[in-house]
Amino acid sequence: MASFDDIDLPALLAGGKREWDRFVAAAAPVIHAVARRVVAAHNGAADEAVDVAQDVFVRLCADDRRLLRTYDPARASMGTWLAVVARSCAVDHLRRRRQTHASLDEVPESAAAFEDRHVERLNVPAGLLTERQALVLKLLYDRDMDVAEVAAFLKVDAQTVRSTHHKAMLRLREHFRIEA
Amino acid sequence: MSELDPIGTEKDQALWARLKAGAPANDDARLPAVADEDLVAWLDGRLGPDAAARVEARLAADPQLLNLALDATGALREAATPAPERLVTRARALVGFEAERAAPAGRLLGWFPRWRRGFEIAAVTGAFLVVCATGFSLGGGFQEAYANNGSVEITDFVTATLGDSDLGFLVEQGSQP
Repeated sequence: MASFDDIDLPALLAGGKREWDRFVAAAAPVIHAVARRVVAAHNGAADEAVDVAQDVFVRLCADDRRLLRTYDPARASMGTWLAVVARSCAVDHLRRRRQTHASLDEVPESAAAFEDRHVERLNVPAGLLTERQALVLKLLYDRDMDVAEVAAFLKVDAQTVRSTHHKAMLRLREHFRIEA
Repeated sequence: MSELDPIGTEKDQALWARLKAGAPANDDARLPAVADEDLVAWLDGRLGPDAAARVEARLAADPQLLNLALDATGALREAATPAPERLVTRARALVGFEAERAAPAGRLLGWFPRWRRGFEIAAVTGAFLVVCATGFSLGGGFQEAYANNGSVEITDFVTATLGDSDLGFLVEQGSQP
């Protein structure tokens, strides 16, 4: 598989055809994987993922590669940056397509609720749990992830996840026993 | 919680559900938004402890941001699967033409793109004129055409010698002998 390490970023941004081809070879699997996930999450047809992925590539090179120029190699790897950017582009693409092809009344509520970013508030006093503890509980209980998945997501070992969960639950139990 | 690797107890789950169902204890729980750049840096483990804690707090509270992060990491795991060839072909074609069009010209031709349209019109016009001139030359040109125009007579088209009966016929038809 092609690697992002082989890409000469200045040459890519300058419009080099050879660099673009290398970039496509490395990026296509990531972007297509993102597109597959987004399309599946919104009940789209599987072959729609290619169109969604193609639209991501179009956006990357539009306006003299304006989006691509926002990548800062000092802050993140290109693969991770691309996965996040591609996911946002893919969601936008599906939103536009749905708005074009169907009136809002025809769209199921779950599909229409694209990126409605709201903050869920827990009835947990501020500072009782650390941010990491709250996130671990959220992933385990709300997202139904197992310990290995949480560990992979947080880039820690499974024992750390177990330990974090244990400490978080101790704090919660202790706090609510006191309050009760 | 997953059945594959159980953790916690039913009481733990019940407590978590109770916490979610309750009214927010902290009305001032508004969390600062996380920029995509910060999320990407967090996913790569490149943030310091304080910045990482801010991202994690937001991830715990913002389901859509958490979806984004989970999708991105999941896609990176699945990226070992090759993309369809038609996607690669179409994506490569996006820059080929553009790169050729924007290929760096030399100093002498650096101004060429600005005058490109004018050159195109001039070239088409020139080609049109060349075709007209060539066709006209093959047809003999104005000079020869005019030279012949004034001296055409009926006898030019009659190669046989006219007899009396022929002349009589022509006179009957109204022609001048």
